[in-house]
Amino acid sequence: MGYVAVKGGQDAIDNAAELVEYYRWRERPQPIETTQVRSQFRLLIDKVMGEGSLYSPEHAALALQQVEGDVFEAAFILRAYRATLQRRFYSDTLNTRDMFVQRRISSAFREIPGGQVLGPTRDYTQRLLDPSLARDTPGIDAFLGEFESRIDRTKLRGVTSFSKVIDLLMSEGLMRRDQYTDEDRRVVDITREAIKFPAPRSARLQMLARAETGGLMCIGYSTMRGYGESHQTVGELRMGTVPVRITDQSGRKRYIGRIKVTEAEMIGRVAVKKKGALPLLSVGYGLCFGQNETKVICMGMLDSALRNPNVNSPGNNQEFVLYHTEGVESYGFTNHLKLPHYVTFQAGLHNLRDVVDRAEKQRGVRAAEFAAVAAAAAATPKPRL
Amino acid sequence: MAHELSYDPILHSQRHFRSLLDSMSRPGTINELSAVDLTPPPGLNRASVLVAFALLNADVQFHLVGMTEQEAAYLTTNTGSSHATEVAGAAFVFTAGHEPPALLEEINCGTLTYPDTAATIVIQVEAMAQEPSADGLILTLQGPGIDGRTSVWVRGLSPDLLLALQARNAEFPLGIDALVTCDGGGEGSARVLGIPRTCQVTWEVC
Amino acid sequence: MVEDVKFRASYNFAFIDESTKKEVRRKILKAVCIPGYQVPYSSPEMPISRGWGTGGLHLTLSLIGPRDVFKIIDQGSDASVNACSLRQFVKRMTGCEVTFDTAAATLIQSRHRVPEEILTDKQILVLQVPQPEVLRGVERYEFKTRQMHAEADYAKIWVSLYEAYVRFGTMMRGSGYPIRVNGRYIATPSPIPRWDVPNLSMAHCLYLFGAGREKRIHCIPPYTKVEPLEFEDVLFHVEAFPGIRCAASGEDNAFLDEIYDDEGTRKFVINDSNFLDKVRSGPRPSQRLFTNPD
Repeated sequence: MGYVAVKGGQDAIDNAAELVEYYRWRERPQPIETTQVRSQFRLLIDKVMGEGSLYSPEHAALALQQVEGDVFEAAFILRAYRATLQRRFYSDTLNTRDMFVQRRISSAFREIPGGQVLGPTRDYTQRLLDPSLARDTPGIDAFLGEFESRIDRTKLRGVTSFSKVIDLLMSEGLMRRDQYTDEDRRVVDITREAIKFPAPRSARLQMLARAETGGLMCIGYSTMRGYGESHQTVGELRMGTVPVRITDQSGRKRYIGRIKVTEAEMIGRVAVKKKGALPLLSVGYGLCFGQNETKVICMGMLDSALRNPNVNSPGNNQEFVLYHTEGVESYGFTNHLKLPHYVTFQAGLHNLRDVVDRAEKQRGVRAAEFAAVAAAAAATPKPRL
Repeated sequence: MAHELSYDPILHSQRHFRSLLDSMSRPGTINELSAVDLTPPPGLNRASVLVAFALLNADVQFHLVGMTEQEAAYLTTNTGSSHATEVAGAAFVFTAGHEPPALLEEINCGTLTYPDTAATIVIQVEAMAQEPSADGLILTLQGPGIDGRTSVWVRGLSPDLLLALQARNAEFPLGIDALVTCDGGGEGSARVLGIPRTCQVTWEVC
Repeated sequence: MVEDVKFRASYNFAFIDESTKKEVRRKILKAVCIPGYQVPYSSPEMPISRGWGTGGLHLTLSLIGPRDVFKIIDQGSDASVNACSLRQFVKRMTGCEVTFDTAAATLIQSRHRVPEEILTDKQILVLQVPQPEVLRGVERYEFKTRQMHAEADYAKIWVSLYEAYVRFGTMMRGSGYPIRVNGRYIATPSPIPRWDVPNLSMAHCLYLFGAGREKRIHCIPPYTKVEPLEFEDVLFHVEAFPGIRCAASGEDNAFLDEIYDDEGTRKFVINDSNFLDKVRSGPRPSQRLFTNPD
């Protein structure tokens, strides 16, 4: 039978891409506007911006729509897009004390200065499938009209920013700013140079801030279940918008806008090594784009855990945590198994066949030996008993 | 300060990089960098300038030996890189071939875990050719990139500098990699020769 | 309201920004100067998935110029689907001429094979590398493997080869056989078959290895000694195809693919698709063939 070289690779991939679009549209659905994705999938967009490492709700919405909601693909698209953008400035350090707070709670204290502000959260709803979501404009208008009528603007306070819970602990001396004095405090940019281990804290926090939420959740959870440090407490979780400023070439500070972030300050204990040293409180810090509370809580737990290296516990192992929660890298490499591997597979088969041949020859040699022994025994006259 | 408008940061940079790569991969091969309409300041030859334009940017620093503010400003304007006051902080060090070798002691030669962080030294000479012409040194080179051995002639390179370079390169993988540059024969000509730290160099005066 | 102009994109020549190209180029030069050593680099994200050739692309796109003739293969085949995807990307971003003809290419990117036809001193081969750290199988931590390379402390990998031999009678490394480069660094040649490893030593061409996901570049310069790890009494062997010929061309002395036809019959065909095309239509291109020790 003649061998026909397969040369249609380009056609095959073009057809595959076209098929994706065919399956998307063949039922002729009503196309949705990107602006609808932007406004009605807020939390998905926040997750994608955080993992894509690019604050742009419109681009995140477009990416999600482009890939029919595949979150790994959408974050990947944002990262790839980000890599094409020219880098002009590093912003000044964000000060979350300037946050216009929408939500702010503390588990460490029942009451805190400024109060516990639940803000927008589904935490206390029952997760029942609800077919009666407001779907039409009249329904939405009615809801908004009624809601807005209940806002008493005369009671809106001037206070829009809140002090930090950890400031209380610091002023009492139970927590100190300088507890990790021998830590590597260099500020590096892991998008401009490959991370080197052991990594400075700035590199660890950057990687965690861009990490895949599910991966962080998995490892963070494990640290709560005996695979790492014990229970930490949410010192403060806050979500809201913060101003972003840069210092331009002439040295002037410029305000360039506000971004929404979620921040967690997880309270744990400093691991003490010296006798007599006090086990003071420590902060594990988490910060990410948009509203993503799971991420910052786990980020804070892992920030603390990584300050106590321990190769026997996954969450305390910086190479394990940082390499394997990198969403774009892990998505790519796990899926790369779909690529042809026949040469490497075959090379392995060759090896295996050699081993099997050798084993069979050995068995063959032994079989021949046994046969020879048996024949010799048969030929030898047996003594009469 | 002269911003070189005829230099194409995309296409010239790529083409010259390929020549530099060929020079480092095949030590002893003299490469001619394709001509660009430039006006280098007095302390820098045009090949050195093209090396700088191809490889420097704001992420790394350079150090100039025996040159002035004028040369430093020219490189900064055209590449975004800045002059390092300490030699040890520079990724690229530009010097004349007859300079006293003491400066080699301070050039970064990398670490055992990260030998790639070592600097590259750009050595400016008066002339180079595959065949010797007037007085100078005949270098014989051996090592990775060379089939057997090869020879090249240079003028304006001090044997003391070569000895000092050899001393810094004695403990592989630590070492300093060198690019030797000169203006070539013709108008606008720019020549470069590569001597990576793996290269064994012997020489005789001619 | 999102304006269309926000999403209109025009790309730099070869896609990567010039600042990143310079960084990659500086790192390539250092890799050339320290044969076999893995140089860390920034490895920015690309529109291609990690593990699918971003490292190879970083090298190709930092090297390539408008006059280059580009070839790309995957598992020896130009028509392989991922090679087509990457070729399309490179062509779109550079406008370069592309070719399937190994001899006509100035720059070749390959996943897991070295072409059969001998490459010249005018050619560069860029290999895609999934795991650049040859010691990763015996030591999981980067900070430790870095130290091992620094001190040339390679005991662990030698022991693993020895143990595999004792257990299985062979050193059990089908692809990605460890090599010693220029007598110093032990490195991975990427997951090429053993058949291809002898081509790396004292070659005319330049070999560059790009691992995008792991963010490392390494290099084998031309005319550099490359030795596969072996023991005095257990020597390196390439794959043998005793008595087998290519079903498509009748030739032997090339790396063969095992294929199963529609009837389930096993056949062998030359893996390198351009080499196969050439032997079927004309004179056999020159190869470097290795003779297995007895």
